[in-house]
Amino acid sequence: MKRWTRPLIVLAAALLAGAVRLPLEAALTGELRAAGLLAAPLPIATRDKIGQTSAAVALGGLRTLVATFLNLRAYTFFTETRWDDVAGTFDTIVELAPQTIYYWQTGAWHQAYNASSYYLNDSNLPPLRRDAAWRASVHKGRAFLERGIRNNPGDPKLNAYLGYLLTDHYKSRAFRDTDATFLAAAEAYKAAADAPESLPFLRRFQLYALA
Amino acid sequence: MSQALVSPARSAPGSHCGRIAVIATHAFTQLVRMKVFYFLAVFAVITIGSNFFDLPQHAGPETAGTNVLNSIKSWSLGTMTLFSVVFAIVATALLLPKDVEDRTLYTILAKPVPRIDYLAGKLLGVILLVFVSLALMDVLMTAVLQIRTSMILSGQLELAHSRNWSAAEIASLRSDILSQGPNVSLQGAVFVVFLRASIMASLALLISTFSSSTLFTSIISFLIYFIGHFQADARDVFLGAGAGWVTRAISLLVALVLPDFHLFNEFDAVIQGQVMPLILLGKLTGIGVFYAGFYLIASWFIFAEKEF
Repeated sequence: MKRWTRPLIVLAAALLAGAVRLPLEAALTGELRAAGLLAAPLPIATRDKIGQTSAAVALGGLRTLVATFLNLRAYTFFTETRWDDVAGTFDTIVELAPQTIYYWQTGAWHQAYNASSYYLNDSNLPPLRRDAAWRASVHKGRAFLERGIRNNPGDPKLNAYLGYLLTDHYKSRAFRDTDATFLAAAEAYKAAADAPESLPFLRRFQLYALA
Repeated sequence: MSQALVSPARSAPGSHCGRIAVIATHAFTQLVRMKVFYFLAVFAVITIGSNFFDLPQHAGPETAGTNVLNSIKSWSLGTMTLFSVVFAIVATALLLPKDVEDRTLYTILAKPVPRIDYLAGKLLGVILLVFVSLALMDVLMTAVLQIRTSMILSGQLELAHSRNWSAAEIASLRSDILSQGPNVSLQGAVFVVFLRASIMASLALLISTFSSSTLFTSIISFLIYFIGHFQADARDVFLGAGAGWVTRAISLLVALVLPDFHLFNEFDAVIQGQVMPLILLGKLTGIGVFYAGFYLIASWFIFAEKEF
């Protein structure tokens, strides 16, 4: 046999074995994704945002590790009150670890509470712009939380947190339609209360929101 | 050394398992003598350090605890993945050239030892090393996680009692914290890390049968490891519509030849609290055994006629 005959036979066998396993692996990937055990491939935009090194680490299956480091970076942005960077970092974090409820809650909390309060007390801004920035931040927090619920349907913590935000006396005036806001809060509390092992007071909160 | 290698084979002529076991034990001992277990000190520092360092937390005392548990799990499993893959590739890449250099290979192949037994033994030795390493790291991670979970649980329960929380709220809090602690799914995730490292070891064995240096084998193996994580992307491009025929042909080639390492990324979801069903773990094991078996036979096919 010539020198390259055997490697070529191995290559042919690898192609044949690949043809056999390709549909099996595609089916198993689908099954694992349906079970929530395998994330969808990382979007190109996210790969760009986290940089080459982190992207390589994330592609190596260590997305939560990269998310942990980004969470530390977000904390630095938070201490420096760089709210756009906080929001941008949390967008990336939840792309990497969409099932970690803590990240959704914290990202929403930063926007709806910390950033909004910061803008409201920012003496460098004229009153009208303060109010507009405050309102925009609360809306941003709500949108982030709703995205978290869409990614983790039926999660009691996120639903309860949305209900809490929408009924918060200091935040609810950011939403112009009060009736629709409290109705949305009641629905969020209902979804939280309907979840297995939910806390009993959530059902009560659902009724309070409707009252 | 060679005495120890051949004596069991003589006592059980024709016994493949006996010969493979002897060669595997020898390869394992050889690797242990290279002081590879020193890395455990590094792992211990990382794991224990992640337990003691008080990293900055965004949230208040009500939620801070469970995030620390997630950090410990992601740091530990990340380190385990890194170490196991590096071990699997470097140890395998080192074995054949070292046996040639030490002339041990000639002594073994001069005896009635089939080459498949030799390769299988070497591969099993590396896999055994990876298994023992991961088992030790797993024990350390589980212990640290258990201690930290207990600390957080007692702290949070104390806080809950001081605020007069109801029994239902306390039960929910307990269940939340315990779900982030050590559990069966986490052990399943460690097993998946082991499967991936085993595939890498068998792939490195295949490459080392036709490569001429340890460095070449290591570099090519690491490249395949990283490209293997794009295999699912390549398959999706081939199966999806929209790409040109050249792109689809290249994607098909990548998807057919390279292993799909994206399939073994479950531990990310497990860290986030997902439960790993046994049936899926079984299917992943099946795929892992298929890859390892295929690469071993392919290695033997090339190695069988190699002249030294």
